[in-house]
Amino acid sequence: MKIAMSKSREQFPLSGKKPLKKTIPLIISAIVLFVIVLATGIFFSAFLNWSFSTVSMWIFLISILLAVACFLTYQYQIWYFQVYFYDLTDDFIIIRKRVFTPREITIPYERVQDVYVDQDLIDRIMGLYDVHLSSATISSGMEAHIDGVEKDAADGLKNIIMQKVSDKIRKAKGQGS
Amino acid sequence: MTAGRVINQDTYPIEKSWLIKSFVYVVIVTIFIAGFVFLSELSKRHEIGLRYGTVVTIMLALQFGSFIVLILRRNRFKYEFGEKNIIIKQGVLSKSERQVFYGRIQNIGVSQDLIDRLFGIASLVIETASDAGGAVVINDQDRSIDPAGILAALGSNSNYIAIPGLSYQNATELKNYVMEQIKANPIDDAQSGL
Repeated sequence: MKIAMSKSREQFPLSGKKPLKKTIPLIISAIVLFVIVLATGIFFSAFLNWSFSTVSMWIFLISILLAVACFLTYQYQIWYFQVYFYDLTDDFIIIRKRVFTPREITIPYERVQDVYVDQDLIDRIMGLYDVHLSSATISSGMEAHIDGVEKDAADGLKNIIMQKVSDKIRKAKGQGS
Repeated sequence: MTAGRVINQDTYPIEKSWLIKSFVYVVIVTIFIAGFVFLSELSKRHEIGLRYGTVVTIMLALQFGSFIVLILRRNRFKYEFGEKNIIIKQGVLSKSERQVFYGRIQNIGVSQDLIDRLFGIASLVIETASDAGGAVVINDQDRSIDPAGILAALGSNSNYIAIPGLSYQNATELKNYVMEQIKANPIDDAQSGL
């Protein structure tokens, strides 16, 4: 599948680590689940006299399932990464994402209320940043973010948005008076 | 874009497949609730027939009632994208008309869910920063007769106007038109705090 490229994405690319980052929470919970299953299996075979072969078969099946789930999620995240589209045109910010149920949001620069950059724990470990921006509506706050970019791209995106917003507002003020 | 181009519910219609989509939702929700009620009745293990039949009949009636309301609302839904503003007229029993100025639009969204993609349709949502829309009470009334929640996404509602069921190409064209109109109608004050 082709990557949804735009000038902005070329200039400020998404990090290739993004699919992995989005899969890591599942991998962690899969590992925790695996440990729990393993401990339960050992408990059952040691104290409740379940046959060792039954227990190990179940452990094997469950770990296969978990591995498949992780793999499918990773594949989906790669797909998500490929269709992730954002473009900072002269007048609008356009962000489009999601594979099966695409959502696109377009915000004029004059309407941007705030820009902020944040990182969660996994982001900090992997050196990724999320750039959020929103207009005065709730849905834009939930949808308008570009997440999984590295430091240079995050700073670049932030600066260019700030620059364009203040240019636009100055121009609009000039026209009004 | 040529000036004087007419953009309204006739040139960019809400497709019939949007009704089919809503009907699919109605069927799915009905099956789910009926199955749930059946299972919970089954777990009580006595005289399933009568009560189950009553509950399911009432539910079906509500669902189909809301579907008919939906058809009426689609027929009564009028919009026009003018040079300076968008006019939305809607309402079956209580009518409302809303004007949205291009310069006041906060963001535009185009979205598709799974069934939308199947039918090749999309929803266009245009949001402003107001919170009224005059449809709050109507909205509450709708909810009471609309268990599937399919009515809320048509027309002017709280801070947005939604035009669902446009063909994907029409939705994109409308979006581009609105974007051009936003550019052509700049605001002269700055609401942004930056």
